[in-house]
Parts: sequence; structure tokens; C-alpha cells
Amino acid sequence: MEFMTWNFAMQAIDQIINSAAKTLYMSGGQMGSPIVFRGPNGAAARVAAQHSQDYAAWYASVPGLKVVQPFSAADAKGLLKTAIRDPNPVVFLENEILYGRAFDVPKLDDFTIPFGKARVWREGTDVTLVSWGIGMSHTLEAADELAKDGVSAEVIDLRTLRPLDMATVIESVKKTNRCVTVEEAWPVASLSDHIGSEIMREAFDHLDAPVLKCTGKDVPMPYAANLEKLALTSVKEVIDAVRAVTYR
Amino acid sequence: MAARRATKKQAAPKEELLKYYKDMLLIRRFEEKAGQLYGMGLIGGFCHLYIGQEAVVVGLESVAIEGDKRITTYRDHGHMLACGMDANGVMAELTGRIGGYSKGKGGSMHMFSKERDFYGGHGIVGANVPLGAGLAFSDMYKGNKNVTFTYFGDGAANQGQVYETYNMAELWKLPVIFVIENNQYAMGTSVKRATKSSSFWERGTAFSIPGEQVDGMDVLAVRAAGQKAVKHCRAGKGPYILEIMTYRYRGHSMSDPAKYRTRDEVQKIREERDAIEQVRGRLLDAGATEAELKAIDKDIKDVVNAAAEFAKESPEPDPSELWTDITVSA
Repeated sequence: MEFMTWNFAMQAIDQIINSAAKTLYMSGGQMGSPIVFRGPNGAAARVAAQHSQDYAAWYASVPGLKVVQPFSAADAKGLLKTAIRDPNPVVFLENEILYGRAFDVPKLDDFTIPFGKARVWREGTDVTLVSWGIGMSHTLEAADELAKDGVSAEVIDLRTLRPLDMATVIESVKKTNRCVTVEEAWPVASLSDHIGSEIMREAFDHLDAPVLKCTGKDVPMPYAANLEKLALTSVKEVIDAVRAVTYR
Repeated sequence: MAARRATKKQAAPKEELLKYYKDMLLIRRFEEKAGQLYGMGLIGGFCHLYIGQEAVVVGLESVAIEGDKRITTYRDHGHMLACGMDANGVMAELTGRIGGYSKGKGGSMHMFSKERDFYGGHGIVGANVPLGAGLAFSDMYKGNKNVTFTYFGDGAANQGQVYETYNMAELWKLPVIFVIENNQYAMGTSVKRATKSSSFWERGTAFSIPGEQVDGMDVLAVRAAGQKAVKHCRAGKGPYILEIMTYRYRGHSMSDPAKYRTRDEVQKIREERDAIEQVRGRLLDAGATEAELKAIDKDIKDVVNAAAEFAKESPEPDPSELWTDITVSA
């Protein structure tokens, strides 16, 4: 089931949440809803408030759904196959800007990627950067910049947002003792907030700094070019957050 | 109850025709300029041009009175110009500048003017229709004679919320005119491929809402149908549906190459049914001279060029505007 954009899926959000996500539970396991909802999520360019919204945190909060947001083309392919084979409703969040970006894709007959497994894009020792989807663009670029200054960042792409691979994140934080999350959505009740609270619960004694989040600003998406840039998070914000948690 | 399609050719005095000519030409030239500015990168994102559909808003605005409201979709530039909003302010919104109607924060699809009773400019297909009924409810509640023109397209006419709105509007006898601008394509999907019964106005009969189909390329036919509709609404008889048969010459948005229809199809309508050419012909028949019309063309070009200059020179909003207008201070 393709949505032209997830912005338009709000017209069908009752069917996604009240019907697709809850039927298995409400029927005592008799019947479920094996369906994949896919389409671009988040901001494109200059399409303003009603067409630029990141729904990752909304859907990831719903029990009964599986939620996926790939960054690389290989992950998009492998996760989409897994989504189609999964017997549950899957919310598959793509990104319009990433459609134009090229990645290597392995040539395999049956290439799948399991849900609930994060990918460590680069290993590091000084800070853990956690992101997914388009947020990975800023995160990897920031990690490159930080490396030039001698800051070694470990970069984790969550790939699946429900179920969430917290084990990989916790393991990394125990090594680096610092964490910054990077997310396109609004800051309030964000996935970053959830990840931060899980880290606090599971790895509090390992933290040398508070977990910081880089998110979209707490405003509807403006149309004006200068304001749109300010509304989105950026490579600079990620670098600044890393400097703050590493006290450099 | 439901009226049949009006076939009688309407007539109008020269002064009236001149006004329609000017208003329609302003929209067309404005949209052509917007297309140019988009090509130059001064307008970004989505930009849906109204070229071809000018007679719809100009015909209906000719029957509006002070206090009447209008609400529409994202193809909204024509509606704003027709209801008297300033070309400079509309163009500057398209370029995302502080001089725009929404301070550059809304863009092409999201513009409003409380002063002119223009309630947007909405980006989600069909979502403005219940809002239009809400505006009409406020007029009914206040007990005035105003009506709300609620515009939407043939694509939106297949959205469920339109029919929920029809039911309430007729139940509560709301003074709302549902204007279906049937330009025959929901983005790239022709009505024939998307809709079982292609007569949209007839769907109102299930709710006891009267309506009719109108030739949307003839501004006088639109005006005549509009007169009937407002008379019905202002008399407290409830909603009315106008399915206005129109045609957009350009793509759905600037990023649409329009490969779902032939060049010939567009060309044929431009040549045979163009709304502005029809009025031009009527004007010449009524004794207007080529020189007179040329002078109007020039005046309009000047207005549009000035709007483009204003839209280029108006500054970007101050960064502090990012944080304003989110909630009203209590």
C-alpha cells in the first residue's frame, strides 16, 4: 500500500492504528493485518507545513505495528522484503531526498535484513551517535568532520524503530560513555527522548555527560528558504552537541 | 429539485465584460510570471498554476458580497487575486518573503487573508471542505446573509469527508456553496479512470442538496449559475453544489510533465474554448477596440511585473519569525 507521502496518510491514520495495528489483539489472536504501508516521510524541499512532517515517533509509539525507516538503498531493499514477508502491519518510512542518493546494493537472489537489528556504520571510542533515515546523512558527515579534529564517533543506524535495537546502543554507550541522537522530527515526545530514557535506565553509571538530542525545531515547517534551514537539524548542530558532551 | 445544465447563452453589458476580462487576464499573466519565477529558482517546492480555470473564480466572485467567505485547495493563486487580495502580497508569499500574506511562512499552498475573508490555501486534498462548512456555520449562527464558497477539485470529490460534510451542511441548512472545479484530472488521473459516475453534482441528490453542472470556460455561465446558488443560500435554504467543468492548461504542479494527456487535447481547448478569448470576442462584438484591449493588457503586465519586483526585493523573514505564530498568547 503506497502513500504518495506520509503527510497524506493522516487521512487514513484511523485505519492504520485502530484497525491494522489493533485487530490481532482485539480478536484474541484470531486474525491480524499483514500489510505494508510505504511512502516518503518527513520534509522534502520547500513544501511547507502540511507536506513536511516526520511521523517516525508517532507510529513507533503504537503497539501492534512494526516501523522501519531505512537510510541506505541496500537496507531499503532488504528491509522491504522482510516487511512484505512479515505477518504484521508494517509502517515503512522512506525519504524523498534520499530517493536521489546512490548507494551500492548487493546482488543477491534473496537479500533480506531482519527487523530489530541496528547497523554500526562506523566504530568509534569517544561518543555514540544514534540516528536513522535522513538523519544519518547529517550524522555521518558530522562524524567525518569530528574525525578530522581527533574525535572518534561511533555511528549507529537504528533502521528499525519498532522493535528498537536498544542492546546495540547500550553496548556502544558503555564503551564511549556519551551519546547524541539525531532525528528529523519535533523534539517533544520524540524517539530521541525514549532512547535517552532507556540509556539512563540501562547505562546510567556509564554516562560521562547527559544524552543530547539534535531534532527538528518545535515549530510547523516554514516555507521561506532561510527559515526552513533553521527548522531542520544540521551537521553543525550535531558537531556542537558532540563538542558539548565530550567537553571539547 | 436538481436543475439541469443551463444551455442558454448569457449576455452582459460592455463595462461588465471589461471587468471580467481584466480580472481573468490578471490571473493568467500573474500565473505565467509565477511559472517564470519558479523556473528561475525564486519560487520553490510546489506551485500549482490556475491557467485555464480563470472563469471559475472570476464568475463566482462577481456574485459575492462583502462578508462572503472563500476557502480552497492548494491551487489558490487565482482565488486570491479574484477576491481582491494584492498581487504583490501573493507573489511575495510565493518567493517566501516577509512581504507575503503569510510572512513567507506558508508558501504557495498555504495563504490566508482575514481582511478579504480568504481562509486558505490548503495542502491536503479534500481537507478544506469540512472547514468551509464550518465557516458557513458561523454565518448561520450569527444570522447574517453571507455565504461561503468552498472550492475543491474532481480528485477531492472522491474523498469521504466531502460526503460527511454534505450530510451536515444539508441537515443544518448551512449557507455553503460547494464548488467542484472539475478540471478532469486528479493530478495525473483522469476522471474516467478514477470515478464510476463522472457527474459529481448529482451526488448531492443523495443528501437532497440541489446543484448543477456549469460550463466553466464561459464566465457568464458561471456567473448565472453563481447567482442561482447564492440566492438559494442567502434565502436560508441550505447548501448548493456547482460542478464547474473547466480545464487546466499546465501540469498539476510545476514538476508535472503532463504525459497523461495529449498536446492536441490541451491545444484544442485553448483554441476553441479559452475563457479569456471568449470574453475578448464578446467585447469586440460589443464595440470595444483592439487599442482599448491592448491598453488593458499593458496595465496588467505592469501590475504583474511590479508584483514580481516586489517579490524579489522583499527581504526574507527575520530568523526570529521561526518561533512566532505557533500559539496565541493567552
